[in-house]
Amino acid sequence: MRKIIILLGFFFSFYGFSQNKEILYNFTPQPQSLLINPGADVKYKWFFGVPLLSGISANAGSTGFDAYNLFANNDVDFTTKVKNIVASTNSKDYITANQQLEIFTAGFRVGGNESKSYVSFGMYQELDSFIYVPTDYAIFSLYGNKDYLGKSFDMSDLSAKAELLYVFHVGFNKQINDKLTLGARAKIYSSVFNGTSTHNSGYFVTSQGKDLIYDQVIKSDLELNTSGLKKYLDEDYDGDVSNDIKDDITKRAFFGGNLGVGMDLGLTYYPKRNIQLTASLIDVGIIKHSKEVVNYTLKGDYNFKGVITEINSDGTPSDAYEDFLDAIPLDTLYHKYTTWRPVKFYSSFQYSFEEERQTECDCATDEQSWYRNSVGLQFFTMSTPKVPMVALTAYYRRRILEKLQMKATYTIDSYSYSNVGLGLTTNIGMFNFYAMADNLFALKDVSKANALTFQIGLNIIAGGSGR
Amino acid sequence: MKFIFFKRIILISAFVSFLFSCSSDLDYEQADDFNIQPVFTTNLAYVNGPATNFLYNGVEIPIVSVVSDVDFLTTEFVKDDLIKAEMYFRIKNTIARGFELNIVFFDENDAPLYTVPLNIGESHGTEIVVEHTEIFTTAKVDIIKKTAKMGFTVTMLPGTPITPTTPGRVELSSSLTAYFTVK
Repeated sequence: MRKIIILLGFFFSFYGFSQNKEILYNFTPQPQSLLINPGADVKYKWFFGVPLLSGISANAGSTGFDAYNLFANNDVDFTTKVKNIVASTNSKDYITANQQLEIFTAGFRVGGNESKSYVSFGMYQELDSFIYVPTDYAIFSLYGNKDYLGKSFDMSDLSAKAELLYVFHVGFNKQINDKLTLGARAKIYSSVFNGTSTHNSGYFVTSQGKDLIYDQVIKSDLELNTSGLKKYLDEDYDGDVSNDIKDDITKRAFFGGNLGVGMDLGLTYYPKRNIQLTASLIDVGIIKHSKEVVNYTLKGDYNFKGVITEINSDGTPSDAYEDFLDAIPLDTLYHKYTTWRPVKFYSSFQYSFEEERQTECDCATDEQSWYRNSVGLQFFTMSTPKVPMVALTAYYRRRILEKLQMKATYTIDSYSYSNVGLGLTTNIGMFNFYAMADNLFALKDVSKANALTFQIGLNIIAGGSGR
Repeated sequence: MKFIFFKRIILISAFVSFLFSCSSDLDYEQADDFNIQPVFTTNLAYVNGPATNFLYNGVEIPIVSVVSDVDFLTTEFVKDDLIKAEMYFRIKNTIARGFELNIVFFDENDAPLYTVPLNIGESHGTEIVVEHTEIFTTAKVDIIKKTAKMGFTVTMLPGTPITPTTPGRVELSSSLTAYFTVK
């Protein structure tokens, strides 16, 4: 029971979000935009992020329901609310959360003043969870099977993963010519905690029998892999959880966890001066889990006829109940496993207009002119344990003042059709500050929002510019 | 320059203050009132055998008894949350001999707690079907919670002795329906 509580706590202590950073994507005044497109058209002599403040983002979302559905202070009984949510969602609905914190980041131009090659590097922490609504498990727990004779309870409805990891990265960005910029970023992942149960299958069905009262069949292929949680899952564990977690994070953040490697790729292309195309592939990577690994499996099948099903020749009953327990054992194993990072793909098309010549330039930017306005379309997709998540964004970018830029977005995704977001970035001297939030209309009542994202950060930039 | 600087600060502050938004009145404490009533149903025991099962070395056994562990009934979940149970028994007899079936509930010390006695008549060519549902409501549900074993005892009623050529068979089918309230 303790194990279950710890695991549930691990999965539910943070809520989810969609990882789509539609405002930051291609918002090139921000060096952080390199993290979602290493081939972004970003210019700087050098920059560094204010440690721990350069990039803070959190994102939470759920499809099918929101906090108001569950916790509204009204006359509806809580159990009824839960039942209503179970009735109105299905196993394709999910709760997701993602939070990122830049520990440090910096970048510089390489190869002299005329060079158009840039290196950027850094480290960030990421908390990632993705939980599908376990519809059939919920129905079984809420109502039992008596009123569901003939229904096949689908065990694959259990699909969830959660991870805390640290990422070290170094990226290279090069403007090949006036039209094309390419970039790539190498990553090393250090996973502190991981829990993954995404390849489950099986069913449980009770139907009216003929000789037997019921035909009752269970076929189970469930597996939960964990890494970094071994000591917490030990039944004899009686340590101080919060202290131990802090210790584990400190020990494992700097390459001490389960390690993995990954890569980002990206490009920006201008077929015409005012038309821009971009694409990026983020987090193509795997993590090998071999330290502190515990796996649980519940595998087997059984046709349950009852506790006594036949009398042996010596007059004693066969112990069918024991047979049942033996047929589908809960096994605890300790084998290595591999997880893929959720792969993200972005692409955009942008049209710029209202060209202006730069009038005051006190910096060594190589930019000759800039556009006051841009409109564009962005496409986002991310791999999930089931169907990929997809989002489409239309946006408007405007340079309000010379060093104050704005990007407004309208996004359609699985969370909502009315997601309007806004981002602002400004340079005050060498200080660069940005703030972005989406689902602004939902902010008038956050409890009814299906998804929320915000990002803020503070950098110091020399020679920055943004087209 | 100063003007631009202040204008910018004002703009950003306005944006940030916009982020401090409202939320409907939410009550998280109501989760404590979570209360569900699942009803589970399952096979309990199934025995099916010919008349010759009542023979030992060719001679009729007057009493046949089997006992099975049902210790899942003594688990914490059942103890804490079971509020009602129904046991359904169906006996089909095509043997030309009547018998008494006693279903006995034993506690963990093998002491009998409760007995369900059923009389099954002899068959005269047609199948005898006896159905019985034993309901354990609030007053009796503790019997289930203490039951660690269940015994099925068949006692032959007077009649024609069973021989290796006696035709017919006996079938016992049964199910358990358990009503829970989980808080």
